[in-house]
Amino acid sequence: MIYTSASTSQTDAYRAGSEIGEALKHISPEVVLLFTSITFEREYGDFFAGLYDGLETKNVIVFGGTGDGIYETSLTAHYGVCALGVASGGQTRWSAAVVTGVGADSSGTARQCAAAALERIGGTVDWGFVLADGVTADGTGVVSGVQDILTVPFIGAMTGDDRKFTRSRIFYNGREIEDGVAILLASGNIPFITHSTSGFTAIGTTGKVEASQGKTISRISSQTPLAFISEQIGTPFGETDHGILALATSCDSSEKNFCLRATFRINTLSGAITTFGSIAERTTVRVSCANREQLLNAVSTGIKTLTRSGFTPAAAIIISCAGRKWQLGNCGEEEVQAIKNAIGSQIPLIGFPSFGEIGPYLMDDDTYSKSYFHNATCVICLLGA
Amino acid sequence: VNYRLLSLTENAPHGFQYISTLDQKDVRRWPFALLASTREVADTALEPFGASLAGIIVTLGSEHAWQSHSLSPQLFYCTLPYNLKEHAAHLLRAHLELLETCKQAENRIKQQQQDLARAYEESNRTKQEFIQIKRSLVEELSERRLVEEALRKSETHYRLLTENATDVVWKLDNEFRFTYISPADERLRGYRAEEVLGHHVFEIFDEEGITVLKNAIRQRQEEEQCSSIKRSISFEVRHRCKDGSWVWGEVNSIQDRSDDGRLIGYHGISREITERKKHEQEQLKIDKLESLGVLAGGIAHDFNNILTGVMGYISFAQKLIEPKHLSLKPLSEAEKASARAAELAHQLLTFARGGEPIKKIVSLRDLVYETASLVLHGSNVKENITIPDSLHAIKADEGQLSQVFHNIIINATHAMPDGGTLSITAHNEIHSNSTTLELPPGPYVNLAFSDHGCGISEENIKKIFDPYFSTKSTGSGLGLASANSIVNRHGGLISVSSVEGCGTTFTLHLPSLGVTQSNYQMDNVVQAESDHTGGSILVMDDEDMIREMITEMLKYLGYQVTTCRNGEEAIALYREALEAGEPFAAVIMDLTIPGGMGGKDAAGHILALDPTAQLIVSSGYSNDPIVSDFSSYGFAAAVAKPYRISELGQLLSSLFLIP
Repeated sequence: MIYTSASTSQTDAYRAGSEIGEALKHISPEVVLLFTSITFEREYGDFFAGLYDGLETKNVIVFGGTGDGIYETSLTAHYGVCALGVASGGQTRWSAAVVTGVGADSSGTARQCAAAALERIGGTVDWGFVLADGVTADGTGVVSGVQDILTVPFIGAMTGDDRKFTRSRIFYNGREIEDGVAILLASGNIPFITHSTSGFTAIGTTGKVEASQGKTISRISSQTPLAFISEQIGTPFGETDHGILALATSCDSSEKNFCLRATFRINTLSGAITTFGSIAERTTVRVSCANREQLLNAVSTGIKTLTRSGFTPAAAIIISCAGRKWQLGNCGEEEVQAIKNAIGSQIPLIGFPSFGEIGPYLMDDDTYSKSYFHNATCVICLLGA
Repeated sequence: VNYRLLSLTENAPHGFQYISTLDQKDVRRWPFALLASTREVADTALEPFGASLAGIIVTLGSEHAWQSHSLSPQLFYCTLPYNLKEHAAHLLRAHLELLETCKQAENRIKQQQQDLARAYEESNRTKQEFIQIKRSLVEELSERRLVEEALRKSETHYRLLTENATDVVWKLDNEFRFTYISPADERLRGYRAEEVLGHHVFEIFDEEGITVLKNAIRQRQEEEQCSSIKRSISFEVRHRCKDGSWVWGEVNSIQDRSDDGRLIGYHGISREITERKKHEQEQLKIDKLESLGVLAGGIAHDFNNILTGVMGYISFAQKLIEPKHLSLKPLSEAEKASARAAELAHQLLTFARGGEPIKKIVSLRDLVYETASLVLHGSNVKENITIPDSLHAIKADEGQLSQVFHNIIINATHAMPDGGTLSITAHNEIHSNSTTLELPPGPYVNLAFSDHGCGISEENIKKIFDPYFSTKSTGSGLGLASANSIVNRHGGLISVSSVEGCGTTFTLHLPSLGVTQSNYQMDNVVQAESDHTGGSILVMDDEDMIREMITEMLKYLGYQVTTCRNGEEAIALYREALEAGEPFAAVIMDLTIPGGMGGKDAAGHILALDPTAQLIVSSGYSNDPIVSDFSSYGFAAAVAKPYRISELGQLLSSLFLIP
């Protein structure tokens, strides 16, 4: 398996596309994973024209989406494009599918998309990558829908924009898709290892979600969520706390692993909160938080977890929450740098700050938990040669 | 650079690449120089590639000229003189490098614009967050001020309530030592707050109270082990006053716990209940008296029945012997003794039930002398009674009036512990509408009891007729209250005047008949002795002895007598006689028949058969309301047991004289 990555901050859409294409062309990629900022709105046609011109072929799966910036081996930026070319020399079969309407029925649409991708690959699946519109979709529902079809661990992300929460795009073979979910599946030789890490610590007492509708929670343990969180942190919970405080939801019997739900919006009148991803009624939750050091330590610890078994990475995919980037107060360089320090600075690496992360936990016995939808989390996936 | 020199003409100069059609890679990736036969040919070829092109459209002409293209700011027309055609590549290369530099500069500007926009947005967001934080802080501060103000008001409110409350509000620490006590405690027990704070609560209770408190605490602890509900505890204990006296208090207490549930003390309220406890004790006495009364009433009833036989037969025997017979005097003494026994029974009944007085003509003079001599016998108080012979008779219940006099005279002796004289005077008086006393107009007797004792204070004199008011430690507080009640039931009034240190006068105003007793009795006796009409009398009584005695008496008086044991028999006999056309002239009916229909119910049935029936109620319960108000129950007359033959004769004569 051969990988190569490229990035550009070129603002001319065609030039950016052609630069990327030309940079990847030499390995004749079968798949191009492509992450961009929202820079080329209304010009993605030109971008893809340049990309295909640069690649000098359209016989390639182009799969990706937008986020709040890009991570790449040589560039970490708020704006730009990054891509990872993957070539297996025919040893890996690939399939991809996209379905729109994820906002109306996240679970059903994801299930439909996974089924379509699975049908196209025509065999066992070894690895999967899921992207869904982070503005419209409910990540909890997306993961639930995919899990109905796929039995292998999969990673993924919710696409986003530059913190405006107004639009996001999924890229699928030269098309830009709104309100969609897309899945890339691989079958065959694709060595990988993946883990999810956040650095957040659950504090306070456990509450039970008693009333929720979609991503809006209206009662926790006989209180409004606002009152519950304020009680736990001891101070009034204001809008300024976005991305800092999250609700830790129980994943399994293990106290160690939990999925976070960051607060997206607060209704100060009703005391209800809207999170990045739904929380089902009767789910137990705890308020959780992390400071800057804990965020960075989590990434360092996470990458150590991945490399403890001697896995030799040939490429890396990083899906890290946009909220972590905001909290770290930069473009996310420090998180990427920590990973590069661990795997080597020349290893092709791409990724983006997302509006929701999807991935499993690598357990102590090197098996995987099932994949979960996360907020405020960093999902690292190392790919082998 | 070479491949960026493009030519749409076949005879391209050196360095130019001839192409028949353009693709976007030729013209969009790098700045280009495009040689075309005409500008129009070049424009047509470039049209599909949009507006962001950077390049030079080269045509050959007579002179060297440059012109901007309208399609893009980095697109130019260049006219090269024919003679420079072979040098075109050389000439244009520097321009293309310059265009690429411009393009890169433009890219950097765009990147910087993006970064600037991002920085602006971040700055704006930070500013908004700062504003939001500031607003939240201001709101929080305002809210805190409001809360503090509300708290202050609430504290003031509760402090005012606490410090002005009649009840004592207090707090104890977890070692039962006072940490707060309201000023009411000083009013109640005489201790200032600083004399109480820090002291153990046990110091203010007696041994019994401490035991009560310990039991209450233990009971609550047991309850809390069974239930999470935290109830207050309530108990009644005596509190020690600073002057050494004790007051009763009802204590309500609840635990004071910290936010983490730790017991940090107790707080509660104590309410003085001394008066209530006194009333409770008095009520207990009353309950006991009532029980005693029921017993006394039962004894008096049976006693009256027996006495009816005794008195009846004595009076009957007196009728049967000659006026000068030696046995007449002993019989007369026996009758007097029986009469006194009957009076005792009557007093017992009065004590037992109170109620309406059974009035008869009473000699007030005799009653006063009798009571005064009885009460003052053996005491160091002498009576000085001044009652004229002309004092009018009154109709009164002898027993009840005797009780009134008794109570007043007893009070007088208490007021003169070192002895003295009690003056009792009486005179007739007439009240009209214009008199100040609230009495109906008419003739009254005025009876005054004056002592020279300690007198009654102005404050107490208003309360002396209140039930349970007493200035004596052993007093029940019922004596004057019952005296007032009895006099009122007789249609009279009792008043008091007193000068502290000089003495007290109780004055009774009792309705009189307007004539002396001797005149009144003479008229009636003459009438009663003369008329025995004869006729048939039905007697209903459950006592065999009484039935036999009445039968003898009535036969002696000239009546035919039929007897029966209860109401059912009486109704049947009355119906029979009525249907036979020989109705009874009168029916004498006992009021109470154990196990059978009594006089009251039987009277109703007989009157239903014969509304003109003459029914006489007779009862050992001489103070029964039916006896005192017989006409309301359909009876024509009443006779209280025991009675003499003369009384029975008078009654029947007066009954049959009624038109």
